[in-house]
Amino acid sequence: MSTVMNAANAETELGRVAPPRNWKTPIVLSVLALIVFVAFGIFGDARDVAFSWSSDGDAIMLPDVVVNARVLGWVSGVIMIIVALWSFWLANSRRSTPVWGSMLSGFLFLASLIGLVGAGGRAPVVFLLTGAIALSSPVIFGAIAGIIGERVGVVNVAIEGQLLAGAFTSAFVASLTNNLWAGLVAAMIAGALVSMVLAVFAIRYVVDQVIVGVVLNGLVIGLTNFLYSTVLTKDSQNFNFPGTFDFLPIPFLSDIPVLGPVLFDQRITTYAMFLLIPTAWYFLFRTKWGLRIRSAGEHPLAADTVGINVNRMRFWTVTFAGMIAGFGGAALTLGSSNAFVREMSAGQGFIALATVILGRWNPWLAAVAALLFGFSRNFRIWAGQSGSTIPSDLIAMTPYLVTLIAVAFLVGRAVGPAASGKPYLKS
Amino acid sequence: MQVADVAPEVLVVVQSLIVLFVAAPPLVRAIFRLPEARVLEAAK
Repeated sequence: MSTVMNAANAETELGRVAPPRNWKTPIVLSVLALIVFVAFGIFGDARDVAFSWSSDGDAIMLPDVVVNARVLGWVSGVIMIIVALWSFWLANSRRSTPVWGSMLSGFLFLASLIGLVGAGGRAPVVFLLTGAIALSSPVIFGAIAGIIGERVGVVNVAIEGQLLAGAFTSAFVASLTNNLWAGLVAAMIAGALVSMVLAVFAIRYVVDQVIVGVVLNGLVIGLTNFLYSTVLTKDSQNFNFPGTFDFLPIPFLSDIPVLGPVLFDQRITTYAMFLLIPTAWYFLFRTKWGLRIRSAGEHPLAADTVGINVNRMRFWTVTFAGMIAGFGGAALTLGSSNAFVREMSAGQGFIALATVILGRWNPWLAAVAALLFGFSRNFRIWAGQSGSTIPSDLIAMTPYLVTLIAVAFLVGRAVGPAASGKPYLKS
Repeated sequence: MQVADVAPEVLVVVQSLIVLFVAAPPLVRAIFRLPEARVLEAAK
């Protein structure tokens, strides 16, 4: 492979160095195409699947689209093979495959996978998408907290702990006060407190940031487990019964088929997530404060030279990011499940950490990566219910398989903030 | 064998605190008001 890359760097007739041939995309696309063509097409389930676009009670009902799962796999496979061949041709002429080409292949892969799992029954598209957004919102909150932290130069491995602290505090405070908003504010304070501990140890006491993060996760898991078994379970009616925010359908917009229930009939926590993504992006990349934050994370000495107090900036920015992660914790309880459960964040903080890197430290891309995780988790839930013939263990693999492929794409490409994880010591 | 009546959840907390103290010499110095390592070497 490396000899091919070296040869590709040879000078062209024009005297300029040609870009190297990159075979990653065509290889991944052709593997996916072959899986779809062979496993979903040739050996796929020959029964029909009905893609349903509306649920009962919708203002506008769309008819189900019924297709044969095997034919769907076959057709998708053929189109994907054509895209893969085209991608090989592009790679050979030293050009990269357009994003829409990869997205088309990804979409066809998902469509035929849903067809295969739902063969002989219905594939509820709206349920799959709505659940994906609901399941990904804590991850998106965590990911944005992680992005802001790393942009200012502090690696936040404690996102898991912050989500858990937020979830616990919101359930407890909301139950005590009978006020969901109080729970939400308490969750943000809890997240900020965890962040403050992280920031004090990482900045004041110059402890390795990854170690502090891991330790804080252990601390929060231990504390919440202890308090859960000693306090919350003793009187769960009074201490762990917060209720959830109501669904707030936006008039007219929520009546749009498919998109309406997915985007405009959600809880306040999800709407907050929708608002947070563009706000975080604008704040980081278009404001003076964002520029200062990024300068503290890229080149703290330069930032210090122009009068920015790097360590103070880092402390308060990480604390602010902790509030966002705490909000994400509240989305786990007040925004979905109505009670705190032992270790309910279940690794979502670590997934958020992965999406920070997958999303190249950009809120939009991280949100897309988190949605992918949310979709695969929801897909797993649906596949378990639909009684598919595919072994559930194989389906449980999907989110991680998706991550592996995505990470393989990004190897060597994702470059984080230069001073992320390095303490700034003023000499 | 359970020797003392300690909730197992607390053990994780204690373990985390131990790791934290081991990983943060400046914290231990600050708590016990110990001098900086460099100052100590210079005194020798």
